[in-house]
Amino acid sequence: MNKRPSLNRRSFFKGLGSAALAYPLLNGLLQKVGQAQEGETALRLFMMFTGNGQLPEHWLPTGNGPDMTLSPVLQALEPLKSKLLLARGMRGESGHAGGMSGTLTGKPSLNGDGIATGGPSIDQFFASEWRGSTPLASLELGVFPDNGPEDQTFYSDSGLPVPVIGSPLGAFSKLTGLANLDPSEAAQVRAQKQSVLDVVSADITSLQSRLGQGSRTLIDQHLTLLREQEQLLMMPPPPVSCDFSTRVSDSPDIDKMWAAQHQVALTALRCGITRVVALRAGGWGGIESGHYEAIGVTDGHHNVAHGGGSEPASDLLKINQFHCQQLSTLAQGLEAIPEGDGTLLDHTVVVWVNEFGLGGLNDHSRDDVHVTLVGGSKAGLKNGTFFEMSGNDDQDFLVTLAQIARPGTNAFGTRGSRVLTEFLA
Amino acid sequence: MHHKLLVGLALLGMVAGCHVQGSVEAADRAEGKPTDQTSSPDGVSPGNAPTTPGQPPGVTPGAPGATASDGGTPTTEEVVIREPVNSIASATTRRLSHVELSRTYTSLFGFVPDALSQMPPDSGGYGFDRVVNSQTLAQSHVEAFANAAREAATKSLSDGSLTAAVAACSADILPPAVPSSVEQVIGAAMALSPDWAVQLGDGNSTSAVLFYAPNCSAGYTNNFEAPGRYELTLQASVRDTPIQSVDVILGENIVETLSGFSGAATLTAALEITEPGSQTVTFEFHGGDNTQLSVDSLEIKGPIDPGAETQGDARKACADGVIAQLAPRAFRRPLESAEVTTLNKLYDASVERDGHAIALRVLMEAVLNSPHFLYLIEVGTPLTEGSKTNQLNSFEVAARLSYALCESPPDEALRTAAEADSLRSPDAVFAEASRLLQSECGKRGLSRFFTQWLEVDRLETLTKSPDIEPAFTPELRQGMLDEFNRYVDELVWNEDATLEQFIASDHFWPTPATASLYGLELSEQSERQFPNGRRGVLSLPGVLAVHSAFDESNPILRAKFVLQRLLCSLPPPPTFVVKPPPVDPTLTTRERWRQHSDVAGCAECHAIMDPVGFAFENFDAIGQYRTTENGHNVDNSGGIPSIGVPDGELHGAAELAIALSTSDEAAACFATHWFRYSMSRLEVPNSQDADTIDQLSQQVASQSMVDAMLSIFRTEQFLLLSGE
Repeated sequence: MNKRPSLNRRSFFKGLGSAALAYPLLNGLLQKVGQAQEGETALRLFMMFTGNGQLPEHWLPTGNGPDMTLSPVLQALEPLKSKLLLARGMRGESGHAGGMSGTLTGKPSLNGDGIATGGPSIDQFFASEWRGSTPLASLELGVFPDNGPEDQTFYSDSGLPVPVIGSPLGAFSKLTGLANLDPSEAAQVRAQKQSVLDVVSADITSLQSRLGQGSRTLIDQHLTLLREQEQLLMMPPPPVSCDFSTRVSDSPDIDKMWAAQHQVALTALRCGITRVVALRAGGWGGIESGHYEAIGVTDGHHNVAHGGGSEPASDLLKINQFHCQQLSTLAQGLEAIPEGDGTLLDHTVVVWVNEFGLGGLNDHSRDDVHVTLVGGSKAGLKNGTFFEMSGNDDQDFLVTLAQIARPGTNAFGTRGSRVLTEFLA
Repeated sequence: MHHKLLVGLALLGMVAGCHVQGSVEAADRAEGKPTDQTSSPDGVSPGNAPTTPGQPPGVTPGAPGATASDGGTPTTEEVVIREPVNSIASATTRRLSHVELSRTYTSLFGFVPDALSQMPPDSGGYGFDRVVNSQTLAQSHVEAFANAAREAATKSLSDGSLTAAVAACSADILPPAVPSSVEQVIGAAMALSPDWAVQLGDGNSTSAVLFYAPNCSAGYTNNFEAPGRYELTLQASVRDTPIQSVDVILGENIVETLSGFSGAATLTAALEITEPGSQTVTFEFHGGDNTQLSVDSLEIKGPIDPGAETQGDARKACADGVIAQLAPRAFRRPLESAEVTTLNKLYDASVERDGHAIALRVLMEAVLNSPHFLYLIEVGTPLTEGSKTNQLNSFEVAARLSYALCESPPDEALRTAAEADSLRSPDAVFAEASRLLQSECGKRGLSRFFTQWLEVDRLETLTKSPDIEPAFTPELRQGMLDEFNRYVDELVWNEDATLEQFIASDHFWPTPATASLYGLELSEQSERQFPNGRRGVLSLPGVLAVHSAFDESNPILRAKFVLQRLLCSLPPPPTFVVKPPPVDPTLTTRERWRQHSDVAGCAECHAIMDPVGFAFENFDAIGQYRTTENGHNVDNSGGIPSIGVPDGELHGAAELAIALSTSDEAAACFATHWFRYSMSRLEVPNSQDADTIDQLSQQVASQSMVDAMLSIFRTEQFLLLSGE
C-alpha cells in the first residue's frame, strides 16, 4: 500500500456530508417505522427507589394546588409543579428487614433476608401486564448498587429478586441491540435465536428429569425465562426505532453516573424499547460513603440518616435534594417529548418511593409514608395536588398504581384493598 | 497449641448461633454491605423456595465420629465408598459466578465478551460471590448470557480464537464474522471536494456534480462490521475532458489506482478491512481540469465470503470440530451421542436456512447458552442400587474441584484424569487438589477466599472522610492491600501457619505506603514485629479500615464483623422497630455507643457485641493507633462474651487476637466459611455437612491452614451428592 501524501481531512469533508444525508437508507427505515408507531400512546412507568426516609420539614410542601409552595427537597420539581401528585400520612408496617423487600411488593420476604417475597413488586406487576408490547418487558437500573439478598427492592412474579444493572454502558448496549433492526434481518435473527432456544430448552427439559426436585430451582427458573423469550420471538413486538446519538458512559462521579442511568431510562422509554424502568440507589442503607462528595456530603447516606457527622440534617437534605434533582431532570426530559395530545410525561407514571416514611433522624418507620408522583395524567392520575392521607394504608397506594396496569385491580400486597380514588382525576 | 475440649459442643453452639441470625437482619446494618445469613434451622424457610437447600429435615444422625472418611485407607484401584451414615445434602444446581464465567470464556477463547457486563453483579450473600443459596436468576442474566454467547461466537470467527480452539477451523476456510450486506449510498450523500465546485441537482436528484475542479474527490465513511473483503462500485460520469486516473483511498492509504474514463463509467475496487469499525473510503479523480464530474451512487458490498461456494465441506468439518472439541471443553465432559445429534441437526438446519457462516455462529451460541456451560451440572450415579446417595462421575468431580479452587474450568491434567476416570477416590481427588492449590490459579483462588472472608475486597472502593490524617490516598489504600496480601502469602504459604498463628501472628510486612501508620520509614516492603497494641490479621490497617465507619472507628461494625466472620455467632437482629436515641456529638465514640446500647431491648445483644468492638478502640477509621480521642483517654477494655471472655477481661486488639486465636469457635467458624466457599453452598443442618464441618474444625485447630483446607477434598462427601 502506498502512503498517501498528507491532505487536510477537515476541509476535505466539509462539503455535503451531513449526518442526515449520510445514511439515506437507514433514515428511510426510521421514518417508516416512526410512522407505523404514530398515534400509539402507550403508558409507561418509571419507579425510583431511594432509602433512609426523609425529614418532614425537608419534604412537606405547604399550601395546595397552584398556590402550593414546594419544600426544599421538592424545589427542583418547581417547573413541573402542575404535574405533581404528592401524598403523605399513609401508614405501613415498619422494620428495617421488611423495608427493602416490602415497600414495592407489600409482601416482604418472610425471613427478612430479602431472598424471596410473596409476590411481585409493583414495577414487575406492570412489566407482566405489558409484557410483549415492547422488546423489553422492563429495565432495572442501579446507581452504585449493592446486589446482596437484603439489598433488593424489585421482585418478579415468583418472588425472586430482579437485580439491577449498575453500569450505564452495559444497560445502554442492551438497548442498542433491540432497536433499528431491518425487518427482514430481524426476522432472520429471530429464527436464529429460536433455533438456539429450541436446543437449550430441550437441554434443560432433559436435565429436569435427571436432577432432583430440590436442586432444580435455578434451572427451572431458567426455563421459565426462556419460555418468556420464546413468546416474544413468536409474537414479536412492533419494531422500534431509536436515535441513540446521545451516548452514555460509566463514571465514578455520582452526578454523572445518575445522569447516565437516567439517560438510559429516558432512551428506553422515549423509544418504546420498554415501558417499565425501575431504578434503585445503592442497596440497603442507600449509597455508601464517598460517593456524595460531588454534592458536598462526604459521609454515606445511611450514616447521615442516623445522625452521623457534624451536620446530619443538612447533609440529609443535600442528598435528598440531589435525588429529587435527578428525578426532575428525567421528568423534564419526558415532558420535552410530545406524544399523542400531550407529552411523554403525561403518559408516564413517574414514582419516587422510599423504604421509610417521614420522621426525624434515626427514625426507621413507615408511620408516615410519603410518595412523590410526577406526570401520568393519561393514566388517570390527578396532577398538581398534595394529599394528606392519614388513616390510609400504604399498600392501598400500590393498589392505586396496580389498577393502572390492570384496570379493576382492587388488592395488592397483604393489606392493600382499595383504590385511593382521591388520586384519580 | 492449646485448644479447649468439647469441640462437639462448641460446634453445636456455632451452628445454633449461625442459623438464628438468618431470620432477620441487623437493624442497624451500617454502610450497606451484604451480611452473612444462613438458612433457618429446618433448612426450609418459608418464602425461600428458590434457594433452599433441598435436604429434608428429620434424618436421624448416626453415631458421632463414624464418618465417611474414617473408612480405612482407600487405594486408587478399588475404592468402595459406602453410604454415609448421615444423609448427604443436595444443593440447588448453581450457576457460575461472574468471575467464573469470565474465566471460563477466557479459557475457551482467550477473551471475555464485553456483553458479560450486562450481567447483574453476583450478590455476595453469605460472604462469597458464588454461594448458591444467594444466587438468583432474572431475565437480565439470561439475556446477558445470550448476548455474551453471540459476541464470543462472532468474534471467534475473525480473531483467530476459534482456529486456536479447533484446528479444523483454519482461518482460510472460515466465513466472515457477519453475513455480507450491501450499503447503497447516493452521490448527493457523499462528501465531495473541493467545496466550491460542488453543485447539487434539484431536490429530487440523487447525484451531485463537481464543476471544473482539478483533483476532485468523493468520499464516504462506512461502518465496516467485520474484517474481510469489501467490494466497491461507484457510478460516475464526466463531460468534456476525460478523467486520467482514479485513486481509491482507505483512510490515508491508496489501495488501488484505477485507470481513467470518459463518459459514464462503473468503477469497481476491492478493500481488505482488517479491523471492524468506521473508515472512510475516498475516490480521488485526477486530470480533467475542465471537466464536469457527476457522482451518482456508491455501493459497498461485503464482507465477501470467498468460500461460500467452495468451502462447504471444510466448514462442515469445522462444525464437527466445534462439536467434538469445543463443546466438550465448554461442557467440561464428553458429549452424549444424543447431544452430538442435536447439535449436528441444528447446524444442518441452520446451513439450509442461513448458510455456513451463520450456522457456525448459531452452533457456538447453542453451546454457550447451554445449562451445561452456564451451570455446574452434577447428577452422578447411585452409590449402590436403590441408594439415595449418588457418586459424582470423574468429570463432575474435576469441574467441582477446579471451580472450587481456581474459579475456572479443569486444566489439562484434570481433564486427563477425568478421561481416565481416575477421580473416584478421596485420595485421587486430594492429590489433584494439592496440585491445584500450589498452582498459580489455586493461589489466586485462595487469595480470593481470604479477601472475601475478611471483606478486604472492599478496600478497592473504600473511601474515607477527608478530615482524617493522614489522607486516605489511593497509594495508602493500595499499600494496605499489598500489606494484607503479603501477610496472607507469607503466613499461608511460606510459614505454613495455623489459624491460630494467622489470627495472632506477632510479625507482619508493612509497605512504604503504610509505614507512616506505624511511625516507620521504609523503602521497601519487609518483615517487622507488630508495634505495640497490634497483633495478627485483624490489626492490619486494611482490615480495620474496611470495618470502620467513614469518619470514625465504629465499634459495632467491628464487633459485627468479628462475631459474624470469625466466630459465627452474631446475635439475632431485633424484631422490633429500632429508634435509637439522638446522638450526642460531644461524647467519645465509646460513650456514644454505650448510650445506644443502654436502650431497653438493645442492651441484651449489645452486651454480647460491644465489648468485642471496644477492644479495637485504639484504632481510628483508617486503622491508625491512638491513645486519646477528642481529648479523652481511649478505654480499650473489652471482652468476647460469646466465647466466655467477659467484658473487661482483656485490653486492646492484641489480647483480643490471642483470645480469639485459641478458641474452638474460631476454628469452627473458619471451617464453616471454608465449607461454604469450597462447596459453594450453605451447610445443611442434620446432614453429613455437620460431620464434615466438625472434622474440618478439628483439622483447623490442629494443622496448618493449607492442610486443613485441603482436607475437605479428601472427604468422601466431596465425591457425593444426594440422589433424592
